[in-house]
Amino acid sequence: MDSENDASKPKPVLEAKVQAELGKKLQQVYSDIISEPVPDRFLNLLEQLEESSNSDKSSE
Amino acid sequence: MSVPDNFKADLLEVIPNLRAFALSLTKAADKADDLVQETLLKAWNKHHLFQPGTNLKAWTFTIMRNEFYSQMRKRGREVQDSEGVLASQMASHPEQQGHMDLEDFKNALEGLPEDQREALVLIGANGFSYEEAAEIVGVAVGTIKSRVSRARSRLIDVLGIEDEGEFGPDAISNHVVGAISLSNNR
Repeated sequence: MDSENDASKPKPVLEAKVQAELGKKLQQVYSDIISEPVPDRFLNLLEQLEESSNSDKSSE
Repeated sequence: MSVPDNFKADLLEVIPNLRAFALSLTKAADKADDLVQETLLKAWNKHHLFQPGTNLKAWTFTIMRNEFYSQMRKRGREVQDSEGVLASQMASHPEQQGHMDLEDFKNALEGLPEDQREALVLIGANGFSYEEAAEIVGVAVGTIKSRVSRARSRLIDVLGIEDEGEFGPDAISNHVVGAISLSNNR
């Protein structure tokens, strides 16, 4: 990759730390939503979908 | 075409990541969950196209991405103008703030070009390998790598990160590296 070898590239050791820190921040940005329990609307949706495909099956 | 027994359970497991990806696409919590709903419906109806043993998370992300961009085309790109919403909509917890302010980071993330932000979110926040991210986005692996690399450089510039003094010893984490090495488990 050209863009990985250009002059603006940070020093390797620093780069690893910076990347780790960026990764950590990135995870923090989304950690709230990722750690929330699955909302009821989706649990209900999947229940309904499962029921409807089970009833399809039994009417075959 | 009966739905495999574990399909529902497997879908349930990827919902948290789908919600995060939806939020990164729509930048609005209510729209994000609507997009998740559409994605789950589509995934369920297309379950016969999913190959068991392959990556369900990547598969559903692809569905979500396609759904989002097709909705956006239909709506004439109204979704575009929500700059800064991610930062204001997502709660920030004081205990999460480290050396680099999380709000600053969110703002910097918002400022990235869409394609670079997407690549970074897929790799860094959702734990996909470069190969998986490339498949989801529908571009070459090298393109994803270069987008991630440019996104990182840009964040470093914008956030003014210059030396190690910015980070404390416990700021070092292997999240990104860990995410990438997961690809070998496929």
